[in-house]
Amino acid sequence: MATMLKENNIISKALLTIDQYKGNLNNLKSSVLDNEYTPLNCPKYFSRTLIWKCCLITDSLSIHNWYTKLHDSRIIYHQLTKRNDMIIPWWVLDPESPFFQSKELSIHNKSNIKRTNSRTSRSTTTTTTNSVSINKIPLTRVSNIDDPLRSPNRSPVRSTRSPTPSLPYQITEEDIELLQIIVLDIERLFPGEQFYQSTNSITHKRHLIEILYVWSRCNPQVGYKQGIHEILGLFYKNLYQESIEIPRTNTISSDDVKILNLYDINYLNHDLFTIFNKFILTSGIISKFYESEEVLWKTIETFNVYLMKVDQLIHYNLLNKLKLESQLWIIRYFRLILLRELGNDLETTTLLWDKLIASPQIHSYGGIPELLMFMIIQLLIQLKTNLITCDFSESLSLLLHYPIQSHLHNQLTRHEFIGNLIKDSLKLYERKANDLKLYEYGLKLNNIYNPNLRITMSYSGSARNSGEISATSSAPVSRSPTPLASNNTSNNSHNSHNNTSSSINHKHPDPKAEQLKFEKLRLEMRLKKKAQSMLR
Amino acid sequence: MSFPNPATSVKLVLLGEAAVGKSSLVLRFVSNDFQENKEPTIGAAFLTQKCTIGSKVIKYEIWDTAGQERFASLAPMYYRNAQAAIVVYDVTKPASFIRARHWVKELHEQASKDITIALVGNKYDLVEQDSPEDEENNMRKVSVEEGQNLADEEGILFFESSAKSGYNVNDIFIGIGSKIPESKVASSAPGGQGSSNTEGRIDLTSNAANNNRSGGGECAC
Repeated sequence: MATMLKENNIISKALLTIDQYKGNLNNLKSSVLDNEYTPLNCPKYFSRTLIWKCCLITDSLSIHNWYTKLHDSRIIYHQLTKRNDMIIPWWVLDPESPFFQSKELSIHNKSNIKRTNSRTSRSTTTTTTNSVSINKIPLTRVSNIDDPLRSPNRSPVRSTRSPTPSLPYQITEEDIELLQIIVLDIERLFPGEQFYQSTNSITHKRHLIEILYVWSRCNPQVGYKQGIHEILGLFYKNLYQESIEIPRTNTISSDDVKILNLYDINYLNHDLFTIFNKFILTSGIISKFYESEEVLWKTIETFNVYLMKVDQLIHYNLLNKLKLESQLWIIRYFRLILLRELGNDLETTTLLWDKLIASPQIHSYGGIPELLMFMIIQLLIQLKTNLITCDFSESLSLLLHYPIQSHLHNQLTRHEFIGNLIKDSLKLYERKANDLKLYEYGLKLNNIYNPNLRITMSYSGSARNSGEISATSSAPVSRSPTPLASNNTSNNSHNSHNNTSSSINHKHPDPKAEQLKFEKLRLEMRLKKKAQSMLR
Repeated sequence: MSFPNPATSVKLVLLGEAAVGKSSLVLRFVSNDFQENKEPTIGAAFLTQKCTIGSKVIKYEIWDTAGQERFASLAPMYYRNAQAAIVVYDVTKPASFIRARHWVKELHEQASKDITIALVGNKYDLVEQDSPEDEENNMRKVSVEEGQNLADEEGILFFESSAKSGYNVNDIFIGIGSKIPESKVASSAPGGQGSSNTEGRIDLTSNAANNNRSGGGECAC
């Protein structure tokens, strides 16, 4: 029987893994980070579910701790989905949509559940929002839409109140809009992935929509943002493939049941919700990359500073010479955690995410975003020869179409590439507070990835020959009074109406920007001197 | 390096609500290709394509923005220095037309004064089967007249197109290319484009060409 084989297979993988790492989760984590516990190295016992769920849910590799931890985590999603205000209004969708369900059917699975206080997780603005009659929505929707450009927040909808008898919670126009935008994106999720185009894909997609809807309702300050659906989609696909239906027989030992419980397909969505929430919310990914524009600019600025500390030449070429602001290309890198940069299949990204989940950074707020910055810097260093010789539009094309294929020849090169990416970025992360060490590690990375690139430092100060690979060390200082921080330079030589970032600048207090600018200038001069002395 | 027929660089930005087909229009124009269920754009995409109009060669530098992005300063970053903009809506989605109206207004208020704008009602293929007798069940929700009226009011170009069938797609870019004043790039160049943040070297080349100076020195890289 195929199913029995799958169970035995899972039990055997879990037991072998636990045995290999002596039941110690930290041993497993180290092994993942060291590129040892991978599908390539451990084909007999590699289990992705085990890494993800043990790192993010059970926090233990000891099967006796699993049941309670899983139960505690699963009950959260269970209770959320039983709330009346979390009912997914499938019936408001176009009746021809594959996700359309009658109202009766949509509500049915909640009907036997005690009503709870249905509005606790809603923000105060939304709880007071007028509700609309769900029957009238298709007619009133367009005329009632508030200006989407000028009102990014939920706004009251002018419409008739009419209570819906069967639902104590009134579906609002915002709820409908939320569902529609999620459906829109999930319908076009990973068009190249067979998994999401198969006959079962509607069921998979319905689960994804439900999780995203509930998550967005729980986090009204963020809501749904394009991009998080792909993160969830990658998680779902991988966990689904290892999930199983637990057989209802008495022939399985209690230890085996504890193991199978981790893989129970009936709790796939519950576990996914917890993993997704930990990965994007408690790690800081949402707040650093998605939630507010202001924070996103600051995050990008942090990246620029790190880039300058690690590789001055790339920083100089992109930001000063080409005036290619990082925000033009980096947003997708950030928001999708490299998902679209690492090739067309999800495999490479998944290998990387195994490591992110096993890293200590996942448990510290802002850790993953910073680690990601160093990964991007490493990727740029591997592309350095191009980045310092190309013009604006060539560089931009390279950054927005990262030439990944050369690393994906076979499984071995793929694993090596990801292993190095995580190793280098962890090393940089360890050094993040020490500028000199970052600089030195940058040199080391250049020796590895660009051994043939000879950069000659001329400290003449003329620095007009910046098109060459040589003579760039002194250029930033001599060329412009504000060589860095494209974000914050509003009053330099660029004429202001053409400055792409002028609108941003008005929002930042000038003294802060000035100070940041000064700090960076100082740091760069120090680094230049250091570089000069080392090369003499 | 020397070009027999120096291309004029034109920075073009696409704006419009999510899933109206911005990326698909670009894909059709640049690669003559179409993908059903194209994934949403995150942040922005950047592509270039040359286009010959009569004796003029235009190199479009196309910024394809994310439709859901409602950040106040993200879109301006892309349209600030643009010489051309395509505002896209979906002829079957009235809400997208409302959004398009706002984009046109915002462009007129915030973008460069002489920006060339085209209003494009996409997904024309969906309404080809509509019958005039059965308006209730027609797919079309935004009439040609509504689109044309808005374009006339705002003094901009108007097209209905289908990225899926290819209908009118090249015409949009040719229309824009023909409308962009020849002198415009040259006149606005020395102060404006040349020192702008996002134009970089490409622009120096085109400016040099337009100013009848030798472009050779500028574009060596």
